[in-house]
Amino acid sequence: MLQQVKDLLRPLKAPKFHIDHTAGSRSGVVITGWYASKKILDITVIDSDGNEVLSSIGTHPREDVAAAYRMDATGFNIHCATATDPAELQLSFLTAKGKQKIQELVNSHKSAVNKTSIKKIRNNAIISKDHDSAGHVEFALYDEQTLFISGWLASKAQFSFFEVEQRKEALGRTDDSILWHPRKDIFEALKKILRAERCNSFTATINLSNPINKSYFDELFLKVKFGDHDLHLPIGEAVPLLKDQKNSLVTILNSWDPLLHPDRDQCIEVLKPALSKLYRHTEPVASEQTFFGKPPASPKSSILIPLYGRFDFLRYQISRFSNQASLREHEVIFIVDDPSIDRDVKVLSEEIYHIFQFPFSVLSLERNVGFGRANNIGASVARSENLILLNSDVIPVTNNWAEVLVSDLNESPGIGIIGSRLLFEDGTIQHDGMTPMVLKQYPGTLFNDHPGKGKSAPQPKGEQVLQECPLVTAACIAVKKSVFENVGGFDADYILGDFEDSDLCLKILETGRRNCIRRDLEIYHLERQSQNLVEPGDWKHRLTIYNALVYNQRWSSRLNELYPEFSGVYQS
Amino acid sequence: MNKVMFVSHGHPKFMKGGAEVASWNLFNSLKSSGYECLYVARSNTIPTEGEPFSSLNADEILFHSSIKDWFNLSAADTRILTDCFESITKEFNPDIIHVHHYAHIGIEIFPILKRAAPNAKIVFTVHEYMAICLHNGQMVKSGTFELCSEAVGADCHRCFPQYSASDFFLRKQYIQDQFRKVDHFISPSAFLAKRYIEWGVPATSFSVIENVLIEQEKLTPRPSENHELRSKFAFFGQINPYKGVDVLLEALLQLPANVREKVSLDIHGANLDHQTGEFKDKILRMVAKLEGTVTLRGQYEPHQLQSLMRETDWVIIPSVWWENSPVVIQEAISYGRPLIGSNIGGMKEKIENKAGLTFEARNPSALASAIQDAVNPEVFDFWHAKTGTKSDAFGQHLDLIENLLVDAN
Repeated sequence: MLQQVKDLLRPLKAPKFHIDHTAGSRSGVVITGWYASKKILDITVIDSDGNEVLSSIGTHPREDVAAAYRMDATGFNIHCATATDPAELQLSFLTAKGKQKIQELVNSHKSAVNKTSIKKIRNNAIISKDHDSAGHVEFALYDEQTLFISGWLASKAQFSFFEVEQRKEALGRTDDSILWHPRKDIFEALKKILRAERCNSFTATINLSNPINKSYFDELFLKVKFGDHDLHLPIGEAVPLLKDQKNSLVTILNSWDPLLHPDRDQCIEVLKPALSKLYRHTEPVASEQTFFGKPPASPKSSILIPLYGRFDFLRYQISRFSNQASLREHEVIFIVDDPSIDRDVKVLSEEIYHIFQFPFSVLSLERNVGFGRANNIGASVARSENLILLNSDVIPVTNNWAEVLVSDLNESPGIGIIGSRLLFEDGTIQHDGMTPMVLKQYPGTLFNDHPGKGKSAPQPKGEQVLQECPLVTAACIAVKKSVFENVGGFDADYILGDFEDSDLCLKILETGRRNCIRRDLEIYHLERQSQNLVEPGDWKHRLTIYNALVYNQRWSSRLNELYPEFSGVYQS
Repeated sequence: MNKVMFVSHGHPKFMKGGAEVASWNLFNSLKSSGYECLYVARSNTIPTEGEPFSSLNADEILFHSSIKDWFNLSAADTRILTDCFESITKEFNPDIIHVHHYAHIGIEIFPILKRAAPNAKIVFTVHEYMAICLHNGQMVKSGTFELCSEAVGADCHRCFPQYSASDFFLRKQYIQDQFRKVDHFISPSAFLAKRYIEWGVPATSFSVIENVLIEQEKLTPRPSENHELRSKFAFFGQINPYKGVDVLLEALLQLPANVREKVSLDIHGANLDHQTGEFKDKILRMVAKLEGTVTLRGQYEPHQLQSLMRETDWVIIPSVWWENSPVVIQEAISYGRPLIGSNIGGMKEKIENKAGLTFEARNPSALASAIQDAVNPEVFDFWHAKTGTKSDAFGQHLDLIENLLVDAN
């Protein structure tokens, strides 16, 4: 019942439109994206003066968006022949209600502060004219032990610490779990009424020794302690951290700009308490396993496939497995890490089992726990000592692929993880082992690179067929269940799937085993298909950066040893 | 007695498409040769209430089905389909199941049949490129109608932006999975077989065998006075954008006036009314300009074909897509009427150096020049002499069936 109400509400929560991609072309600009068919009547490209720029606009149905939001969605491809810089172009959407909505093609940082925002800044602020200080709390998320809070401060005096105060009682304080960055816009807005020397936004985590009482939000304050005075900023109605998992995640990430905060450990210190609680890693998750057909009595491996969002891959995978005779000796478990698709997955499973008569089971989780933990839960019900972790958008072509992975695992006791070379649908390399990589924007942080990605896949020779490779993607790996569980499975500190695969690889290396990659299996990975809905804003990018910071904090010295060529990264 | 079961996406009594007629002819020929045969055809209407199928005759059964997902060619209700074929095969116990199409049935028909009759050999005759190409199985680009020679995911995505290259990869994997249940493929043209083999069906499981046609007596040429021009042309078939009637009309418009006044074209074609306004208007506008030369004669019944052929010198097949083995080519050859056809795909294979002239596909002036050659009585006589050959398609079908039965036993 609740699920049905949620499904009904989904279209209401959906954005009206979204730009997927803007790219310069030889003759102008190409823009792709989509809009809600019933809410948008027309689109035009306009320049900064609001004049229409001639373009050819093609439209087509977007079934992926329709499936995600349960509403009709129209995709668009716009070819715009113009010499104008894309940064000066905008898309104008005419809504069904007759309103015009403008969307910039390129996210530009708003520089100039206009008059309305000056007024807004002044109206919202708590100002102490005597001490030339001012501040404002923009939002606060809380649970029993933690307050995650963001806002801005302007002052002449030196800042000392934050304290949370309710009904005159101190609930907790922090001196340095705070990320600051300059807000020139606010400084400008206030300079006529204050002689502040600095103006910064802040994002802070405050540990609470006493919980917030939600009956007295009107008496809840962030006390800002300066050298010579206090400023009491009303917090108002703080939002429970777990009220809306996704919304809290986006709010937290959007209050942080990784480019402006180079101090890795401090970023983690501020963000981690709230982010890790958001995904309640320690709380038990109820699960229920539904069997379609009878699984083998003693499976050679348990193949674990998490499903999130798009689930029609199940059709293709089971169709394929049913044609691979030896797969019948393996156990296939789909882990539904998305309660909103659970019912549909089971309807499809009935149909697919009926056609192909290939046994599998569906493990339904009561809530979304993320890729890593979904696999950990899957491993706990696996009946084989050999695990094969597989993404839902992986299609093996080589018939005995699972046999090969399992026999490598059984025949080499020193082996930890066996990964596989993976191919894009056009036959080029998607994954051929990972190595560290540095991104210019984030010096001091190592990311995972996929060497050879997009290049043609050469026939492996000799030792290349099964070669040592410390880091492999978890889209398709084989590992002993005991080895996987002894290192605690995937680590829960990575939020929503990034870096937990390389983390797992390093944890297993620590146990004295070596990881390998197999290159002679033809296995396709249609990467990004399972999450092809890019949401507005760049919170997903920030999440990747956050996960990278956690990964680097934990593994920098080990990575130094393994990849001495990157050791310079950590010295700077 | 050996038993052959046919599965067709339509019964020729209700739908006279090429695949339906071809399977029907083979069914009847096999019966005459002593095989016990059952013809199971999909019907548009739902059979008697509560029953998955109904009998039309002792050896003809109708069932109902539909496709819910034309991208994957996936059946709407595989449960009903399974029940239906499980009870049919249980009763009939076929040695060979000859599938003639999965359109409107569902690609899952292959695993369903294999499971219902695990010992029967499944033979599948391909009739177009539907499994390869989402664009109505035509291998012609959507929008531009350019000829396409290979289904590459990135190109297919350009034809259908709503599906990604990866979606097309999955579609192909899924369809090929179901094709693995087929023991042997038949293609009526080498060209079509080549396309499927390039796409991934093993060459060893393909035989090229023509559709079985009811043989006709070769007609003598249309009676004519001494050295009268062979200027009576005819087009047989559907009038739709793939069939190139517009190319043909444009070719006639390009003929020199002194030639055109001696030429006539009869269009024996159906479904112009079903076409979009723009295409229909274009055809009607050109037909109006060619008053006195072109006559729209509408649809014909099979029994009229002989007399229509009799009044014709040449049959023209100007399709702008590849075609497979158009029945009109077989019929024209059988009746002793030479052809002028596009020089691509199945038309080139069946006509060039065998039964008439070919011209550069889609090029009206090339067709105009072929027409000017064709009116020459000597050219006509040369090609007329080559037509009327008897096809041995049925003999080849019999050989294949015998071989499959040997394998099975």
